[in-house]
Amino acid sequence: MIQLSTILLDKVFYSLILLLLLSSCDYSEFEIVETDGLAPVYINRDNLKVESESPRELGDLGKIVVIDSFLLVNELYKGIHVINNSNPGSPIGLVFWHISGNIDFTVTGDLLYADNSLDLYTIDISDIYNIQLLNTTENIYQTPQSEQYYPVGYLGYFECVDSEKGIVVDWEEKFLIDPKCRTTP
Amino acid sequence: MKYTIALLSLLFIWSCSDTVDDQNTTDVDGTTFPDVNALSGSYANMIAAEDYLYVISDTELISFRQQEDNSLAEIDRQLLGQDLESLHYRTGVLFIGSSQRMYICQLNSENIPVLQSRTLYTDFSDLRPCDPIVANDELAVVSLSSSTQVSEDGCGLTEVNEIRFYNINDLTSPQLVNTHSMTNPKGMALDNNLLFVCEKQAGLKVMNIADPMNPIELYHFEDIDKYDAIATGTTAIVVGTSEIYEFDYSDPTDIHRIWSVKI
Repeated sequence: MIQLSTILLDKVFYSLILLLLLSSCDYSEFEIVETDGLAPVYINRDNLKVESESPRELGDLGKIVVIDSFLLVNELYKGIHVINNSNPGSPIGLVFWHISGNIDFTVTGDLLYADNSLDLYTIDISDIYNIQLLNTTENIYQTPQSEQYYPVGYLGYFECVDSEKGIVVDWEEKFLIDPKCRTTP
Repeated sequence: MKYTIALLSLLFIWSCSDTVDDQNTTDVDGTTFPDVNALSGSYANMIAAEDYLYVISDTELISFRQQEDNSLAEIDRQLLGQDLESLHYRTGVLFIGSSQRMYICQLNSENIPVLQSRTLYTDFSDLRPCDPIVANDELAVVSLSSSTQVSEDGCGLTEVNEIRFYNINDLTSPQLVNTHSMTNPKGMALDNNLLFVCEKQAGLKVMNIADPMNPIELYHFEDIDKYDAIATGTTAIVVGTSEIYEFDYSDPTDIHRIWSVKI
């Protein structure tokens, strides 16, 4: 009887040890992370805007192109500022080309090529105050470019871009559960 | 690194070009290439040259031709590599930068890019610098940089902060001529031998690179966060995250800021 109880005690003892060890394990790879982060804001292709608007304040700036005496400066996800620089000492904002979700662009002659997370647009800029969408080229990238999108200048978790949800036009703060994407050090 | 030692041991002598850096459309045997009439920053992902549009995705170089019915016809698509980041066009030559390599493509008679060379920056796969490229007639200049704030701008953590000069007289075999330490070089603009380098928080540097073995720093405009620059021939437009500056460099002995806009 003494032997049996010793064996039992041993089992209990070792079980307790095991439990203690397990409880000190790092479970992080199994944990669901819950954290504040950013999530993409989408619009439907049907709600795409390509139009001239009155000039607006500079915000989060992206790429820049110079053509003739114009400076064209991208406003991340929003469109392109058109600045008249014919008098280099005093630039004048002329118009804002609102292009939903715009990140990259280039110009040649009277045509502006501009993209967003889904498509590439051919836009007539012969009248800068009344730009016209001429053509939409869809899905030109093998892997949707949107899947490479991340919030620029941000460090942390974010909700991965899902190209099926539409065009990314902004990032918003959101409480994330089990996010799969992050910008990493 | 064996690569660097081998190439640095070569010495080159060449003459400096005195001509203004305009966008020439002809190469040495008289073929004409499409002209660009817009100037792009060194982080461009798409460049239009007359009827042709060249776009890089993360892995591919895609060529389009504008059609008269307003559609864009895809005329070529090629897988180049991983992490393609920047595109630069000069006189029928496309320079593409990725986190590991500089790719050089020459347009053929149909204006479709044909790969000439891939130049590896480093043997270490964990170094992933961002790398805008600019070029003049003889040199391709690449800026390689780490992030000062861990991947804030998407550039990987590296130990490297430098600009590299490659002689490109033979596009199939760019020769590393010199590397020059910098603080945190980002976008660049090049007008003939005048090189503008945005050094992020370290400001804007203007250098004479007529002799790439001995780049001379002419100016250092400090305390501004500068990311990319375009040289127009007389002025340089410099862009930060929330500001734009313009510098007059028509007299290289007196480069000065003429305006700035801040948020």
